[in-house]
Amino acid sequence: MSSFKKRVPSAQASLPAGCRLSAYNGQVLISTGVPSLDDILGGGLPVGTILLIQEDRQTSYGQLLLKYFLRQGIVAGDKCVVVSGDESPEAIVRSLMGIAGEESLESQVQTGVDNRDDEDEERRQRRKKAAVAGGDDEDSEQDRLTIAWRYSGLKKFESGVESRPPAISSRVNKTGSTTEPAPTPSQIPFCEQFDLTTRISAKALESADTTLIDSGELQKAVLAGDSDLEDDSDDDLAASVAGRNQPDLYRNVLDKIRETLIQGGFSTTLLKDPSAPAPAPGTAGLAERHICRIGINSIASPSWRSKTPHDLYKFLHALRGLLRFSFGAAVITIPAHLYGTIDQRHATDGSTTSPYIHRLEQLCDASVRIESFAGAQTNASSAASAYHGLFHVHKVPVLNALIPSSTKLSVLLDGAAKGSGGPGQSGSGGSSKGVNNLGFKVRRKRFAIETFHLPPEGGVGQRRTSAEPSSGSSSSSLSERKKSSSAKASANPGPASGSFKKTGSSEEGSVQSRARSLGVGNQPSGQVDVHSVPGASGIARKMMGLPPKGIQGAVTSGCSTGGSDAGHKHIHGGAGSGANSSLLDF
Amino acid sequence: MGYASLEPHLPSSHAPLLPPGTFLSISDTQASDGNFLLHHFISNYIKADQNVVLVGLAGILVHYTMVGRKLGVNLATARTKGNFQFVDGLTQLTDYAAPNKEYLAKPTEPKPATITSTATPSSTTTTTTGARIARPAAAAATPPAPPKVLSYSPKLVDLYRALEEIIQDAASKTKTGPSQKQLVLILDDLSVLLNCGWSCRDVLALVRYLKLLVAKFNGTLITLVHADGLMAEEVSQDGLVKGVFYEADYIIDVRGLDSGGSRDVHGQLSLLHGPGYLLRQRLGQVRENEWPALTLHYKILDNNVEVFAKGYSSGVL
Repeated sequence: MSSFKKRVPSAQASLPAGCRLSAYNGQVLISTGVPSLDDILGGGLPVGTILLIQEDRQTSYGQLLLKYFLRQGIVAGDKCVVVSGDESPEAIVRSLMGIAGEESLESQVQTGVDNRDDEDEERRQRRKKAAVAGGDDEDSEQDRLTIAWRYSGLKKFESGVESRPPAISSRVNKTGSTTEPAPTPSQIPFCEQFDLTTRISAKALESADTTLIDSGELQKAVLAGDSDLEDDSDDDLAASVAGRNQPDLYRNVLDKIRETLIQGGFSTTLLKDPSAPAPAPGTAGLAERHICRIGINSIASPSWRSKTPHDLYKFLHALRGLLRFSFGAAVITIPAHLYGTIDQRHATDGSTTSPYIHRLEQLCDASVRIESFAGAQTNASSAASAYHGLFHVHKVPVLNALIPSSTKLSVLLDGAAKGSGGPGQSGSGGSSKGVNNLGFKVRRKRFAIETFHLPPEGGVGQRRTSAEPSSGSSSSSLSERKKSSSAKASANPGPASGSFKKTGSSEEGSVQSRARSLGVGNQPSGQVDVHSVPGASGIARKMMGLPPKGIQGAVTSGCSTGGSDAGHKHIHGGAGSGANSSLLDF
Repeated sequence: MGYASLEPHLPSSHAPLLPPGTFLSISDTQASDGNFLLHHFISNYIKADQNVVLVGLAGILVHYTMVGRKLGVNLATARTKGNFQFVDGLTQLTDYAAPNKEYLAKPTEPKPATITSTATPSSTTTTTTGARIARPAAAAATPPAPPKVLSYSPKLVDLYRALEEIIQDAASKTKTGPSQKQLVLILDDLSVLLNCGWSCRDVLALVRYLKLLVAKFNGTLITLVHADGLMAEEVSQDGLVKGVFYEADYIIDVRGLDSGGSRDVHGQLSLLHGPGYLLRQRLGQVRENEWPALTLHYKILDNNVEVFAKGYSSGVL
């Protein structure tokens, strides 16, 4: 009964389609469809767990993540259960994204170069050049670093997770005909690359194994049922008292989910026919197993009426009980912003502020929150136009172990990096608290979560003379600020940018231009002075027009940025305070 | 031993176990999970060959088994020996989940030739969270019966009765010689009961009853509650936490660092005296310095937890 599987080919082949084993503890993982989200979760979403996505306010990135999850399931041939009230499940399924490169089969010569985004392409070119130019990677590194050569040995700081090249090219070339034989489990990629500009093909839709549960319809049925009960109250008193509990929406949805799990044979403990002798579990039984992916869109939205406040919790508890003993996983999105005010008093660690949502998080294995910049006040765009929002990780799955696998494996959560503190510290992985700020961006073709960092001061290349909005972010260093305050001098205030104008080179943003746009926007705020702390600091958030975050930890220079502070002056090390005053409007 | 660095800070009178007749209450937050403490006590009691009854309201047996393995205890053999009882409080606890009953496989007589096949669909040999190739069970040991399930009932009293039965069962089975084995009843976790709809008063009453019950059987009670500062706004949540603390002899409070996350220190744990401890102290039942009230920092590693004084983390020194 070893939990660590030997990496024998036979072991790999006996996994259900589209799964892989965790490198840390051998759990079965499935992909959420977004490689960076998989990375945050520690390789993928473990089978049997629930991921809670707290939606953003005015955009639908939460639903987008859900769609990725479902689409990946369709690619892998998993059963997809879609529960939705606000939007009809059929509409959601029809609007799923297509696979990158699927349409144009002929242009597979260049393995999906046209599918890359500009940045990735750049990165790739640079790597290629570096590989061609220098023989050994090490040598070329050392050649480049003549001053900071001590850093050459450190791992490169990865700000994002690269997505794999699409495997569809290999599939198509193999058969070359329109009717392909169903790919064997080992051929199905763990995480397919999708294209947001295309829609799911009709063929894929047909072959998809989906169960659609429209909670709006269920709700109507529930209400109709209730009224029936009232009419026959006299006759059916006995019946209603005797056992048939009053139906309510969450219960019905759960019943339907249970039914699907049982009928599809996904559950290992609940059987279709309990009295039949259970079949002997074969040694290769896993390969025939399929995964059931449950996607619930906007649970607990106003259209979901519950009988008691405990309904949703009980639902999650029961769902966990079902999933833990099944080959399935669930992704649930919830409009968390509707519950509880953004009262940031309690957010000492960046967690949610509503006790209601917090309670639900206790039962979910993983919880993330999307906070998009859309609809925030104007300065949001100037501060971070490369990103579309922040991505907060509240909880990562900790299953069958003391620490979560993302502590060891995640690039984004800084797990894979060796501990930089302490001499001779054997790399014990980072705290799962996510030392990095994470932001997400949605390009034309894909959704990516990356570490959210300030580009280098002054830009990488030339000085900016035209007033382009910068794409800085929350953290900056003391020295940068000093430099900028002295160099500010006669900066012409540039026009504050409108909404997400995508800057050509996101690296050229500078504190300077941000300061300028701040001056125009007449925003009384001090300068950003914190190193990367978990969650963006108060002043930075105010700068970006986001609601204040509350007292964050580890603030350098002793300037605590309380939410209500209206721009106090930071006077540091004699940097020209005169220059500062242009920023601060009291 | 569970975590070597935690040992010196626990009550020394019955180390490595807890003094019988006491109640240890653990509180944690979302940022700092208190689960690791439960594993510590489980492994201590099992290694000392005493009884453990673990009620899993939010977790499944496989999880405890796997972590136990990392800490060096084999829960499966402990179950067959009768030392360890797991009570499943996840699959049928609420009225939502109650219909699960109807779909469970009916138990059949175990056929000697096919040990894993029919009799144990829900026992520890099958799992979904860890991919396993099902092999015939080791040797000819009959697999342990599936864990007892707490089935739904609108009153918590029934839950209490079920637990009472289980404890009496466990205690009587393993009565060896004149002295009864020490028992520990672990509830993981209480917040589930509160959030599933039972009132705070009922849950507290359950705790009180269990504490008395367990004392009769030479045992201790350990419970886990979630006590985020955030939840203090809600009266019932706050009431549960305060009520549980009020009943406790020992309190271990696990929370994250005030100053944010850190790679080397995952959080802090405070060992506190509960009102019960003070009472016992006054009665002279506890020695001096049996349980000094301290606040320590901890860091969770792969198969161990390092507990150290503030500022002494190995990342700093």
